[in-house]
Amino acid sequence: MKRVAVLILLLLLLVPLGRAETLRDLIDDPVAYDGRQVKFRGEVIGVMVRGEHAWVNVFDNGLAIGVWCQAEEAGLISFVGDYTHRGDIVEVVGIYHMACTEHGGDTDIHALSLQVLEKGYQIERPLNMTLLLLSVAISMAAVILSYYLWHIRKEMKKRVPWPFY
Amino acid sequence: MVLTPLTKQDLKIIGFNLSKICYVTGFVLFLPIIVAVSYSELDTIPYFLIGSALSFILGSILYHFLYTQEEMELKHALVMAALAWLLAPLLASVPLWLSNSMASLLDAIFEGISGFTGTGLTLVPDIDHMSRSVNFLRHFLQFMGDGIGIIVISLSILGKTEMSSVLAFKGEAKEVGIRPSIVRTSRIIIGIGVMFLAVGTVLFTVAGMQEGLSPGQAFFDGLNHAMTGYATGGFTVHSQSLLFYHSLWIEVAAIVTMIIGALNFNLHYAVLSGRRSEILRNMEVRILMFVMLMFGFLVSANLMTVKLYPSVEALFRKGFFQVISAQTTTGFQTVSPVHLMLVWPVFSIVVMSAAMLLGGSANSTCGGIKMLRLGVLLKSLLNEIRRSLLPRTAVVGGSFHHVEETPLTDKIIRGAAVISMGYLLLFSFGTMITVLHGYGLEDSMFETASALGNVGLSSGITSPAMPSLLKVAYMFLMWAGKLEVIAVFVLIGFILLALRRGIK
Repeated sequence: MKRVAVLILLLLLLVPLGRAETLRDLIDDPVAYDGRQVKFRGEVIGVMVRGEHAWVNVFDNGLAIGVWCQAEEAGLISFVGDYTHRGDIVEVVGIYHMACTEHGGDTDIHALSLQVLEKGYQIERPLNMTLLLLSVAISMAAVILSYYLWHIRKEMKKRVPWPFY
Repeated sequence: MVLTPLTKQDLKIIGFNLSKICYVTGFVLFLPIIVAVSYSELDTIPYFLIGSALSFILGSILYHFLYTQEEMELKHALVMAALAWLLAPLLASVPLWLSNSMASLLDAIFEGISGFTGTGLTLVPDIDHMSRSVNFLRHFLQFMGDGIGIIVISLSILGKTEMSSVLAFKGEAKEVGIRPSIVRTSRIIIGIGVMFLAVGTVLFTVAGMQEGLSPGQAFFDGLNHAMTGYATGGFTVHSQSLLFYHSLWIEVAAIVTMIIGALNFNLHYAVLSGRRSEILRNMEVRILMFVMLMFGFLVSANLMTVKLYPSVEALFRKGFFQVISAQTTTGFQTVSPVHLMLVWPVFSIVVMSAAMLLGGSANSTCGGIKMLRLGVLLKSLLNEIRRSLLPRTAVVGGSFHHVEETPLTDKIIRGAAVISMGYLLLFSFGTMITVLHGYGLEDSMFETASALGNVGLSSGITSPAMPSLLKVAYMFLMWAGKLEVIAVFVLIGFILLALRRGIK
């Protein structure tokens, strides 16, 4: 019992479970976090199912990392972030690998748990009418000008040269 | 030698030929509208319409007011090429800037230059949330600008004289010689490009679907990566570059497209015409493969020594892959920029910088000094050694096999030496200016070699937050690297001549 208590205490000292790292921390100081348990949050920007597992790419403040998790956990993700979608916000607890032995040296996180905190949603991208009208006007100007200049050039080519005496 | 003063006719010839570049750019900027409609991104259509229309307006004005039937001379072709590689990115920056994908107009111009020159350094703050149509445009710029060449396209379609085309090819650092007819040559170059684009798209799409991407995403990503892989450009649709996929098969597809892009167009044509033995006999291919393998082993051995990667597979996918990406001047990454700088040993970084500076084949989509020049310089060095060992009366000649047997003349050696020296001068300039901004020496060498060699691998220096002066310096390096230095000096000479002696 005493041994178990010491082991738990040691684990608590070594693993900062309570604090959530940012992806910037993990990427900027890979050696310090290599092989350690980490916890971070981010937006899902990609899901690729590979058999019983899946790669979930998680984005946080301009950076992204691949999370290797169970396919079942990835199946809970509803939205993948892109131009027209805000991806689900997930919290990942897992082991960070600077150069993963299992995945050809990739930098990744092997998830112990992946939890969807916030469901994503569709982003409306309305057409900017002012810009649309401006673009149509410029396009029409381009067509008219091109045709007009082309026509003038054609007429100039037709013109008979002035006779020299 | 007395330089003749510039005339208004000189400016007319240059301006008139630039009008064709504007037309081609207008077409390039119009095409992403198809992608915007396909993916229901209708809000992005005005950006492309405005960019395209402005290009056509400028083209029409230049065409009409500077119309001339006079032939280009070499000086016109070089200055026209130098200006074309500034004008086209400037026009391409319009939709990039309007789309709010870039932090500033300067960043949009940087992205335009990086795209057209096939470099691949990016200042996009959030690629993962970028619209598909704007993202497609970035990749399409690389394919049209570097993969095929805007001047090749403009002159093969809109050019009317053989002489103009031959000279303009020189300006774009593409030599001629596949076929006697220049129009036929440019069509062959376009044909080769489109064929390898199709092959690359199939490879990437199949690999992507195999690795769990939906068919739609696999095709979109595959098409874009095939464009930038063949163009040895290096833009990718995700901020993690190819690390996004965690896939050996996608990396293999990338290696195939990068190596195809790094080979000489003349070699492609020779092989496609049935002369398969040319691959083994060609001096440039031999040197490229030798240097790539040597650098690959050196980097892998170095990474193994420091025990960074745990297996042979990892050493191949990280060490060898990054060397191939650097040597072919592509810039696909399977290692994050921060890792390259913080975790990789300095020796590997220096070897990678050398690979980027040397580049791939001449007359290909690659940047850098080029293997043909390296081969010529090495052969001439051997000749010099031989000459000093033989009696004074002995004649030391030599030749090399590059599609055909070519004698090693002083003119060829001088050309190779001058361009190599130009690259080294600009490399020193770029490194110094980066160091002056407070970055470390090896980081500075790496990033400068990447910009100058039109590679796109980054040590993390290139970002929207980098100093504006450094952005301008890298824009200059990318532009000068694409033009193989000489056209830049000719443009400077042209401007100085105009300032000193006026325009008659």
